[in-house]
Amino acid sequence: MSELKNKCIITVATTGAWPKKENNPNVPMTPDEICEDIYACWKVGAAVAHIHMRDNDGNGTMDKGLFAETVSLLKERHPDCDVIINMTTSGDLFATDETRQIHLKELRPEMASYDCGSMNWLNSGLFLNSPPFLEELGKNLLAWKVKPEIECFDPGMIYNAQYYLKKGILEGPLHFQFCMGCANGIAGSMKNLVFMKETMDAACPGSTWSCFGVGRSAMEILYGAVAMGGHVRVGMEDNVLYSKGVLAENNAQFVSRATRVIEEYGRSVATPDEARQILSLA
Amino acid sequence: MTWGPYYFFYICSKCGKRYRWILDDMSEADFSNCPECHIPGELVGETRDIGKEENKYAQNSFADFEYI
Repeated sequence: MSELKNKCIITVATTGAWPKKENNPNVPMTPDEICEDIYACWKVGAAVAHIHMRDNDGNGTMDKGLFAETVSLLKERHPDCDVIINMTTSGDLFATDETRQIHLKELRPEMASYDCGSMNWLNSGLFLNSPPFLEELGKNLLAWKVKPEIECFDPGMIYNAQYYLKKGILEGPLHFQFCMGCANGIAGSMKNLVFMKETMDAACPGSTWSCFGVGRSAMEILYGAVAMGGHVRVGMEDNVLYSKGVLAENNAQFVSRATRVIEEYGRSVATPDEARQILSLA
Repeated sequence: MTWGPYYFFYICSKCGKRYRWILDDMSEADFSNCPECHIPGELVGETRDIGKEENKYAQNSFADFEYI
C-alpha cells in the first residue's frame, strides 16, 4: 500500500443537477455527451466519474434508463476505459427514496453518492436525506456491493456517518467527499478543510477522503487537498467557470489542470485500478 | 449533488453598473459595494431567483451582471 500513498485520485463530476447550456454551453447533458466527456476526462487522468442524468428539459432526473444508456455507450464505444463509475443518488430533489436507488440495484456501479444528512437547499428549499432513507440506502449499498461516497456538506454529516458506521449501516473503511463552498453548507477555506479532515480522523479513523470547493474556493481547496494528502474532485457539476468570468471549455480542462497541480506538487495521479485499491473497492 | 456558487446581484444607484458578489465573500468589508463607486448597491436578486418570472433581471440568468 505504501506505493499508493503518494497517489491522488481525481474524480470528475461532469454534469450535476443544476448547470444548463445557458450557464455553460459546454456542459454535457445527454447520455451521448456525458459518455464522450467521461472518456475524454479518463484519458487525461480521471479515475472516477461521478454522474448525473438530465431529462429532455435539462432538469436533473433519476431515470434509470438514462444511467443505463450512458454506461452502455461508454462500454460499447470505449472498451478500453476502466474509469470507476460513481452514480449519484441525489439527482432530483423531488425523487422518491425508491427512484434514488433503483438504478444502483439494477446497474451495480462500483460507487454511489451517500449524502449523509439533510440541509437547506439554495436558500429556497430542502435537500432531504432522512434517517430512514440513509439507513435503507446504507444497507442496500452493502448488499449490492456498491461503495458509498459519503458526501458531507458540513461537519455534522461526518458525525452522522460515524453513527451509521457504529450501527453497521455503513462499513469501513469509509470514503468521504467534502463538499465545500455550497450555499447552506460549510464555507470553502483551508481552515475549514483542515477542520473537516480532523473531524473525520477523530470520528471515523482510517477513512479516505476527497474534496472540492464551489466558487471562489475551488482552487484553494484543490491545492489544499493535494498538499494534505487527500483526493480531489473537479468538474462542471460544481463549477462552470475555469477562472473568474471564464467559462470552462470542457471537463477535461479541469482534469488536466488537476493533473498538473498534483504532479507539480510531487504526487502522482492514481489510475482507476490504483484508485480501486486505495478505496478498497470490491 | 451541488448547485454552483451563490450570488447576490446588485445595481449601483450612482452609476447603474450591474454586478454580482459571490457569497463566499460575505464577510468582506466591501461586500455589496459597486466596484466603481465603492458604495453599497441595490440588491435586485440572488441565485435562487434565476428563472423566476417575477424578477425581470432573472430572465436571462443575470448574465449581464459583472463578476467582482
